[in-house]
Amino acid sequence: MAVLTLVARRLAAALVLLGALSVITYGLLVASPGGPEQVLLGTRPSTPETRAAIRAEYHLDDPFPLRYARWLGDAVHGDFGVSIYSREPVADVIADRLPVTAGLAGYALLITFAVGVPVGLVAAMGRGGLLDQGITLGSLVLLAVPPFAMSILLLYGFAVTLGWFPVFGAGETFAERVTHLTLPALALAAAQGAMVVRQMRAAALDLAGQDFLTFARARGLPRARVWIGYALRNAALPVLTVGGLLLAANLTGALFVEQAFGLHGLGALLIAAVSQKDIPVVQALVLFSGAIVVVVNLLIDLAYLVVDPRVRHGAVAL
Amino acid sequence: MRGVLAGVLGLAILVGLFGSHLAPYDPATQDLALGAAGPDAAHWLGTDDLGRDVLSRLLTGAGSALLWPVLVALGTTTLSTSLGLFAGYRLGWIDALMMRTVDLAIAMPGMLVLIVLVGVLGGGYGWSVLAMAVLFTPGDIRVIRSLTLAQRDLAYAEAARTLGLPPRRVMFRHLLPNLAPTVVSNALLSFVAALVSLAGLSFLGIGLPAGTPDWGLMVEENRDLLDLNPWASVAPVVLITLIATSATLLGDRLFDTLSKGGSR
Amino acid sequence: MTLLDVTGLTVTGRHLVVDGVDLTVSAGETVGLVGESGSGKSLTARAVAGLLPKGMTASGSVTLSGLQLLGARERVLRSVRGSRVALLMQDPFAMLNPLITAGAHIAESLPRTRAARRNRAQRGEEVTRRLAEVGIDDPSVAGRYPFQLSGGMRQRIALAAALAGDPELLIADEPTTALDATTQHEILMLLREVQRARGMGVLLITHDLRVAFEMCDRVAVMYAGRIVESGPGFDVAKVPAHPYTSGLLAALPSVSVTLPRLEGIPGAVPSAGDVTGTCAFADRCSQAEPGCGHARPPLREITPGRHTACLYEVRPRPHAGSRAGSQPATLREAPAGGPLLTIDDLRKQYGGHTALGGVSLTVMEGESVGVVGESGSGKTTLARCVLGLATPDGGRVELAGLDLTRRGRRGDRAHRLVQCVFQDPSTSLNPSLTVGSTLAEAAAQGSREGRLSVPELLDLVGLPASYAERRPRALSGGERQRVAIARALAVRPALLICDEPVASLDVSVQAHVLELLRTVGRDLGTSLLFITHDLAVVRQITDRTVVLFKGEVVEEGRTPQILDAPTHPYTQKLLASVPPTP
Repeated sequence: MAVLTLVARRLAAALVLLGALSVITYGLLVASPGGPEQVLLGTRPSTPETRAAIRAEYHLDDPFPLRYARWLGDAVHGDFGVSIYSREPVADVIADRLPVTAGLAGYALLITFAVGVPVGLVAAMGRGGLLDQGITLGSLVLLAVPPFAMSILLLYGFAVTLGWFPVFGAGETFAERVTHLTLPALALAAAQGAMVVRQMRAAALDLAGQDFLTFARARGLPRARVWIGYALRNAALPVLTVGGLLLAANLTGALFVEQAFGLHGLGALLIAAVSQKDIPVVQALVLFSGAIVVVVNLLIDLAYLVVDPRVRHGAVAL
Repeated sequence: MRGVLAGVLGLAILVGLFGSHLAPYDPATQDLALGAAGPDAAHWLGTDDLGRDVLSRLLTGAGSALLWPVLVALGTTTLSTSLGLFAGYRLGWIDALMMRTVDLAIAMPGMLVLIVLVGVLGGGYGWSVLAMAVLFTPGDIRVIRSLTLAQRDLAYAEAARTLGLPPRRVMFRHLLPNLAPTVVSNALLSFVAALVSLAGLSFLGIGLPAGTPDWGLMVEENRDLLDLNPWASVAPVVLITLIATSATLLGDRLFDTLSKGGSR
Repeated sequence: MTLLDVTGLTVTGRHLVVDGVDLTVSAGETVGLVGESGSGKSLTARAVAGLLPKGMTASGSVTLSGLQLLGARERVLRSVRGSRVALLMQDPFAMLNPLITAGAHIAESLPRTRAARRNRAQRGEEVTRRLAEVGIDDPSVAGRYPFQLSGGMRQRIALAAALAGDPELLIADEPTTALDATTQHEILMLLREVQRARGMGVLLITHDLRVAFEMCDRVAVMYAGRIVESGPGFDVAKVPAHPYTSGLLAALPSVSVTLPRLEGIPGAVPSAGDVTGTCAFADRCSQAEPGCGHARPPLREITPGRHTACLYEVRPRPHAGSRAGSQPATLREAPAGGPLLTIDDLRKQYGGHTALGGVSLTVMEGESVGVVGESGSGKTTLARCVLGLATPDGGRVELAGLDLTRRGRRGDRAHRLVQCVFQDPSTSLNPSLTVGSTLAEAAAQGSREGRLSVPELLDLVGLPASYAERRPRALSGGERQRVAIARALAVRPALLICDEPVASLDVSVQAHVLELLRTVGRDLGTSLLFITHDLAVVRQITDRTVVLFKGEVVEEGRTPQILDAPTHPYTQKLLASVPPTP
């Protein structure tokens, strides 16, 4: 029962969020300078005939709610219309760019957790020591450096000065891809990794002070049981929550990193679409990223339901 | 350590206020014959590909790069602290309404919306700054509210209410001082976030006309000069990084000192 | 046969915390380690189990049937823990893993060799058997999660889990401190039963002398990191051989007699590291001699099995006579005034839970009324309704002719009529204000005439005027509660509500604060509504007592009558749960 209410509430919240995003993005078309006609015409010549064609094609003479509803209906089916700039279906444009961004984000997340989790644990174990202080300071510094600044520093240091990595582009073969994406992924992962380090350290320290961990050791439970059944399970949830936050950071961070490294991913697509006023593409990208955030957060909520009986039985509000 | 950090920030603010007067050249004057060149005696940080003096552009750009974030930090901190305090202390339907709105705002991919809105609708720093304030406030409201909620039921706060002190006095004289560490570090973190976001927006070429002496824009425009005059792009990056880390570290230190020493 | 042998145990963290403790526990014996907060008793227990917090180190010797545990490798310790030594901790809410069931806690702690061979059904049966041992006959409890169980149930589950490995020695660190009086009694009785049935050795760590004397064969009293006295419980209770023990006993409120004066121990516990070369208690001792500060008195044997770390014979306490119960003191004259506070059919619900189900009571002018109950009785909700911190759903609260329940009528008069001293000394004062500004602000809320100045207020609660400059962090728990009392009295209220004001204080400090409340109430003519779970405290400080159970008044009457001849079964159960005062 509690589970159903929770899931229902979460789904409702997700719908409200996506609804708000869709209104904002659809509103863009109406509010953009020159009005929808001008935007949708793009670079085509503006004659009475073409204008009339546009008005008819996009039903611009219908009242706003109707137009919005029609647009939303199409959007739900994945149809965001045609890019004004390239004249291709928006879905195709996005599908074309997706692999680069997915590769970058996945690579960065891999680095983030592969480095962040152990480093955070090491810091917590040597609490107060020199290593811990160094790690804590380092993570604070990294947290403050924005991805685009990190990109330039990495580019200058490793690509231009040392020449270890290619400067621009995404590469063709898989191995090329990996080398091309290493610096961008590092730039994206630096701040996120720092966040994971801090969270992991805090979670581990918090756990170490918990009576139930001491009580588990006092009963002579095997080391694996204490670590997996007690420490890891209890630390998983807070770290997982950070994972959700990271995703949002990942989405915007990728924008800057792609721009800095000249990668042709979704971020670069969005920037280009924004500056070309290619509204259909912008709308699709915003809703797409909103949907990703919503889905991941729902998955995290589900994980809470699976792991924590208190949430499952509705004893704690999520 | 704290002295050094505060010094860096103080110096940065001074440069932000008076930088344009210190600039040796007009930031817009071009020297196409010279083009992009490395540092020398005449141009300490070299020139960009239009032959404009990098140092002068940095000094001139410091104003908008640093002063707007200060404004954002002051604005969001004041707003979020008073709203969070109010919601957490009075509770009731105002609180419920405010928190639902905050939840929604936090769940939004805010930076993305910001980029799209400012990018499509245009409109320079003003809109970016306003949008940023709207973007940063909800998170801080939530933090302040939850801290207020934790404090309001402590014995000293209940005693203050029992004494018949007016709510305003309980909130500002009794609760607020105990939230001070968080308020101060929130302000510094908002400053960092605004500095970084503002530079980031102009790095993406959003909201500003090309050629404006702006740190973020300089990074982007001179990115291709990394082999000719790396300073043109690296110098603003170094400045942003230095100021952002100093403010972050200072916030961290101040939080620790205030939470420990404030009650001694 | 000696099971546990601790010699010269020293624990050091940033400072020295345990300084040369010697202790033995034999099979089938219960040994009590008693001390106030900061005595090092809990760290002694942790050191014995090899579970000191990070950053603390132990030296000396801890052997279990000859096996040296101190400095042993983690692998050795892991094979000993659970199966030979078990540790039961204080907080039943923190001790269990929130993510696994009660049964899983027990099952995972069963002896591993046998558990591995057992199948699921047999393991289930074994868990049921273990639950029955700790008095839980309902096997479905095994399937519940900790958050679904009460504190007492959780502590039973924890005990079953601790005992699952069939240890020879159980270290119980304040196992009942976090529990209600009746539950505490049940758990203690259970512990004794299990100990006898198993013939197990028990090391019981407690701050409560009465619990130690009731439960233990031998008792060791700790102070500032060392043992100052040890011996058979009965002997220590009857004839304390160390001034500290004697002082603690004198400070102990009695449930059966109203003492004419409650005597605390002046000063505060020193840090163990500051008193290594002297008698740790010399500075607070009423019979200290010049020699006490020169060398550390050894723990000398006075009679076989009886040790003290005092060089001298302890003088008997002056009022020991009244403790014997010959002449119970009367608190004050019967109150002369009319009714001050009238509560009529007060009701309050929280969600589906009834906190107050129609409570009525009266406090006369100048009278002191105790409200007794366990957690969930509604006693704190009652106080909050009178204070205006909670809004009742129904009923009436009238204070000096002012109807407090009518909205908007509280105005600015209510706060001059009623004030409160809250429980938790760590949060009772605003940490960012000095004592002086806290008191001045409070005084300014009172009427202008007869307003007391900050030094006068401090003097009223027995603190020097120089304390006005201090911040709460520089004050001890007892001092903070004194300031909290001064703050409450600053507006000269007609009624002072005390919500468990001494529950978080050590017994030697508690006596001071109780005595202060008693005299101040008498001197200023303030009525008291004293909310507590502690019947002994009620005996000392109230004229009348109201017993609250699940939001209802179950018994009401003059305090001596209620405590000497309770009529309601719940009151009788409460009284039976109080460990006998030595």
